Amino acid sequence: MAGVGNPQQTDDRQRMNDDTLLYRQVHPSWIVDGVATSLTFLPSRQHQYLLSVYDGDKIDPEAAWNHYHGELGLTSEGVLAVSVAECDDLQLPARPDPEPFPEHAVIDFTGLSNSKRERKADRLKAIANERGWLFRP
Amino acid sequence: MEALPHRSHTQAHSDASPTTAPDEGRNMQNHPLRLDSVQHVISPRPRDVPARLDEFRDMQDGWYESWGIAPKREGLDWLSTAFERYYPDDVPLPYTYPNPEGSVRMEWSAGNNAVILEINLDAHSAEWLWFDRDSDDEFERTLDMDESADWQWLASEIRSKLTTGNA
Repeated sequence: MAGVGNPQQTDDRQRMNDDTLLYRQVHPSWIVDGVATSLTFLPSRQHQYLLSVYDGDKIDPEAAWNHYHGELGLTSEGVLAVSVAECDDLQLPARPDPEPFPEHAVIDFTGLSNSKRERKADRLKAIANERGWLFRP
Repeated sequence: MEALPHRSHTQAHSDASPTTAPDEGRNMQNHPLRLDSVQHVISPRPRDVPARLDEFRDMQDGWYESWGIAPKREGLDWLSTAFERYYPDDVPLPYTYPNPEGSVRMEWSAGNNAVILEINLDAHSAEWLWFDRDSDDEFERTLDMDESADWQWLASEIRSKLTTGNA
């Protein structure tokens, strides 16, 4: 789902601000005891270490889930979120990436070692779990 | 400090298998509904590792965002057997998850200590990562999961780092 950079990135980035929430869909196998694993926020080599998220300024949590499950046909137990500011605090740039679809964005983990990716994913997981589910079907 | 469950001598792993509906059809991913049924059941003992591995057995390629690689059954069989054989009863149990790259991931956490074990089911190896959330302290190591000595090392590290909350 991760796409390449957008030539209008600067203009789009202005629409994301510190309070913008970035939604992650959580696979059911990644929830135990009601808590999501840090795998939820760990980017894959498959996608060049760009973590796909939904831009919360462009779509609400339920609509994001409906898009993910209904239109893309993918499995999600629900929606968790971190903010752009929380990503910035971890030195993880977030930016719109509308190439796959308009509400798509990415959190950029490129250039990090394995342990740093894991640490940051662990921290994002804690933040998101603390915030709680934004939507569960 | 987080209280972590331990495996009891009387714990039966197979009876923790989630109830699975008959294969009544397919979901939007054209996967058997049994898969979704399995995934939506709350395991009665979520840290029962063999039971969790059983839950992964019916996963199919494409399970995660259409690209996830299903863990191979023979690999799950191997890991379940090895875990039963080598993991001491007195050591805190992990949470266990499928990784879309085809591996199995185990996670332990207590206080500021986090341990992640990524297990390669083909190579019977694992990548160990421990880190202290409150400092830059961390340690990585590759383990041979066919070697009892490496299981012993793993168990010793879990005991020392997660039962006291200290590095």
